[in-house]
Amino acid sequence: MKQFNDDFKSELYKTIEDIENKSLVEIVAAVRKNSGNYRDVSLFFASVVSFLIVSWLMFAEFIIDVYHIYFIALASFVLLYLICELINPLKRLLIRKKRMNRNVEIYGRAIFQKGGIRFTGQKTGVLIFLSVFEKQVLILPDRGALTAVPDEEWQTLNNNFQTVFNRKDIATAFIKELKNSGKIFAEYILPAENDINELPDDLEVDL
Amino acid sequence: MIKKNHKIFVLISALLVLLFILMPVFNDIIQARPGGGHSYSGGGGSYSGGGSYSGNGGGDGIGFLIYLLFRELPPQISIPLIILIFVLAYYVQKRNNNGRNLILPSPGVQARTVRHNNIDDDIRRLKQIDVNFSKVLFLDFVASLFNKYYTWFGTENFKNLSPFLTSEEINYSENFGRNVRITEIVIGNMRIGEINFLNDTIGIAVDIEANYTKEIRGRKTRYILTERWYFNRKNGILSPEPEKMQKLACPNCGAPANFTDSGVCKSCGTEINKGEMQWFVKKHIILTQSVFRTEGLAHYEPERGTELPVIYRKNMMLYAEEFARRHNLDWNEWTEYFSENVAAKYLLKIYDAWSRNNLKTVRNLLSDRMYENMMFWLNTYKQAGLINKLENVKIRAVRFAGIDLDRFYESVTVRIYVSALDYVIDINGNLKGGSAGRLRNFSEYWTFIRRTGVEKDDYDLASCPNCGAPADNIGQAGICEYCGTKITTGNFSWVLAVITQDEVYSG
Repeated sequence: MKQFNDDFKSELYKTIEDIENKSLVEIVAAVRKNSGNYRDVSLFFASVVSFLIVSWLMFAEFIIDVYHIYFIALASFVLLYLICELINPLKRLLIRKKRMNRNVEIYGRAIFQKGGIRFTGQKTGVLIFLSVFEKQVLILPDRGALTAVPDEEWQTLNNNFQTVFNRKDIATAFIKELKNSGKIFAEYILPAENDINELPDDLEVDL
Repeated sequence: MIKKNHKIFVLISALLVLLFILMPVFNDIIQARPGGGHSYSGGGGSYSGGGSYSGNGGGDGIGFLIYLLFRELPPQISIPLIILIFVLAYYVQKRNNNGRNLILPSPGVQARTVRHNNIDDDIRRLKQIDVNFSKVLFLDFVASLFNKYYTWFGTENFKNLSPFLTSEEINYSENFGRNVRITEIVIGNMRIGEINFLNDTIGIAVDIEANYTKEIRGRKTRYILTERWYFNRKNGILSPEPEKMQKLACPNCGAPANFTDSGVCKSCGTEINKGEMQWFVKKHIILTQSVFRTEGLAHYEPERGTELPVIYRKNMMLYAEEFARRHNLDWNEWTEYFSENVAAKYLLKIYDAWSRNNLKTVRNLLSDRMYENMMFWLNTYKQAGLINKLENVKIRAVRFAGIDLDRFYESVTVRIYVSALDYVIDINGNLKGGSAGRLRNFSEYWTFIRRTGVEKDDYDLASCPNCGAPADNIGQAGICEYCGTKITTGNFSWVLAVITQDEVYSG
């Protein structure tokens, strides 16, 4: 998450400002390390594997102290839990995609709601939420924006944003895709004369 | 993808089971580890003193685990294992903590400086079109309108705002304001966020931080909120004179706002069409709103923003030269004098009054809005049974960040670096927040205003600048009770108009 530093926040701000100067769209971009802690998965993984280890030790042909079995069970459980918590690809492998999708969606909708994105006059608010652990970018447009841009373009945006996870520097790739999305917004959600930004410059979302 | 994950999961499980089944094959190899460990258990017997542990039947789980580790395993394994568990636990904890925050776009210093400069350029352009435009007076007008909007909301008087509001707003007040009364309105800060130049219209967006009490059917709730008000006015007209900007008045005759539904002034009979003589609110939006609570008053966050560079006004030296020419003075000498006799002196006096919970002694140094805002916070502390103390205040540096000149007002913004003991105690003197022993370093941007043409810089802090009587009888309205003169509008010398924290200052 080091790449999502103050420079990133500032760059994100400028990018959004540029997009909004050319379109009536009101973009809120948000990034979070994950949309759920999934500790139960690590615990489950640690339980299963340590159980297998204990089973193995219990039925082994060699002699082993009962204290060792007890201890190894505990130590392996703790270690496996910590390892699973630390190795994202392993943890991700153990979580169903559907569950991750649902969590990102719940989190995204919470940001949309609590960030007041729905309060724009023309309903042109759009949330672009990047959840790093789940490797997902969720785009949530308000109804004005949703109907102003053809569905095909939303699909394109979704697909394009999803490619940021193929790059090493996700932060830079995200900014780049955001800049590219500006062209679509400028094309379909034209800027209004004599209007203002309806969302705070320094949005704070208390979740 | 789901299928793929499941396949891998099943594969891992199968491998582990296979390992378990094939275990006897590798018996010789396997025996080397547990058997080795077992042989050390005898050595572990040297920890038998620990055996009394189970006899004690107590202790926490982690302690017991560590004890077991040492007892059951040789030190070459137990010590690295404990270290490994702690290191892993530390990283897991750290990662979980880092992941809690939502990362949102934030204007860094660079973006804020650019925005600040853009607004400055726009104000300069506006002044070329409207030589009477004064940022100070415009914000005074905004504050008056904001105040009256909420004071009169839902009442008959609301129609007096008809020249300044859209008809939708008037209807909204009539329809939804019947059971609502809004009182104790305090405006904290105002900032011009955007200026739009169109063919026939000029638009200015202002962000207003405020708080007020809303009473619905006798039940009161205090809210803290930020609103964005978007003002429009016809292009090419001049702003009214200060007297018509500082209070809500007919832009034609200057009489206090008293209009018919159609916007006809009852004093002069002039129909005031929206935006033809004065600014009107085209749109207003609530950006943030929450119930005001006093729980966090004694809570201190680590100081942020002190290390940020000073945000200077673009072309500040051009304004400085103009200022020096106007007053026939040497800019460098004057800044030294101002730093010492206005910025530093005012700050020490105001902080002292704040600590004593008595702003009466510095009323002459504060603009009306500043005074109301500070009084609000003092009263809030008081109601919560708390006192905020600022002691051992030392001015570390004063940096000039901006100067603004217009036809009616001059304003100077300085960034003041301070170190002080900043803490909160309750009425019994118990420390509730901050530190009474450790100095806190911080900085704030202070903006002072003064009427154009006034030469005097510093107040005689002890007397009324108009009649010379002791400054001990200045009412809340900033009027000297001896001579009846309002002395807090910058008509006599500099008054403090705005304090902005360094981490949010944007000009």
